Amino acid sequence: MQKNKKGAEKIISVYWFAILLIVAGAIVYMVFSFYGKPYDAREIEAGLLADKAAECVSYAGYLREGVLLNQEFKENLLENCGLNFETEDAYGWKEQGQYFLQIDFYDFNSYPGSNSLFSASAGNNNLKNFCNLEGEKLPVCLERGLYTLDKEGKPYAIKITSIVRKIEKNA
Amino acid sequence: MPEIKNKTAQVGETATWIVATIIIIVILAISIFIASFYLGKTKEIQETNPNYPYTRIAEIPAYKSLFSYMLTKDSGGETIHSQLKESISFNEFNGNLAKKIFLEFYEKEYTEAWLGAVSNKDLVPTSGNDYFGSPLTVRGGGQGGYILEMIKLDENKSVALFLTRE
Repeated sequence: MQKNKKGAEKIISVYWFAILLIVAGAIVYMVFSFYGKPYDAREIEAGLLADKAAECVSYAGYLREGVLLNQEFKENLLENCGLNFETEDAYGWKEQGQYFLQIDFYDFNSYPGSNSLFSASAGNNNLKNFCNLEGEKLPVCLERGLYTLDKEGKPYAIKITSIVRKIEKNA
Repeated sequence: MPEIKNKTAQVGETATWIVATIIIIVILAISIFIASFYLGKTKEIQETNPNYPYTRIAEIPAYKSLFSYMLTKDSGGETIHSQLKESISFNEFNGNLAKKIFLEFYEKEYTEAWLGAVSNKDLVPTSGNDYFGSPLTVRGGGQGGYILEMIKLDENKSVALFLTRE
């Protein structure tokens, strides 16, 4: 009887060890699957970029002066809007631009259906090609509309497209 | 006889451990499933409005559009802000323009839009209107809360724009 008891105790110890391993493994797996995925802040970043662009072209309900049909505004969009597309030097981000911003102006009365009156853009133009694709590891594209007036009261429809790549750290 | 008694005890103990093992494995499997498929997805960050629960931080382009809309003048030179201050009911000019901006122009951006008068006290829409129908609160709203933009008309009421996005 004593021999049998010892054997049973050994089996129970192995059983407990196996259960311990299973529970520990499951906890490690759950922690890894929860904390292993990053926070995706790109939608907020793209939204902030669109907000900044909206602030840049419209103020107090009216179109800012020197924006529409101004070649200088178009060529120096980043400087004129106080934007900086510099990124940290990781994953080759410096060589490949991580941002794109485009602002299109339309006559509101003939929108949609009319061509844009004026357009200004800055950043990595290639990112636009990913906007209609579906998948996980893709840049975040955001389109925001803005209705505004010029000083004479003429209405304009403005489309702001902002794109943030930064896949390696967010997706 | 004593041997038989011992056997019964051993079988009972084994059955207990088998059931216990099954319960442990089931609980772990459920936890792993939840962690992997619900909590383990890439985490998205959303802004919420600290002043009004269930509403999100105002979106600047939408707010600017509402502001410009209120400044738009009719053929007589009167702004929509003045028109709505006098009478909160939309007329043909400001109603159709609001529809064109917030329902047609914003069609791709927002799943639902409602513009109308709300009480300043509790932000409850005073009533529906001919152009936007019944307020979103009546229709149940959207996921992730409302995006709320407001412009005050007087001490009691404001014009509010409720937007929802998927």
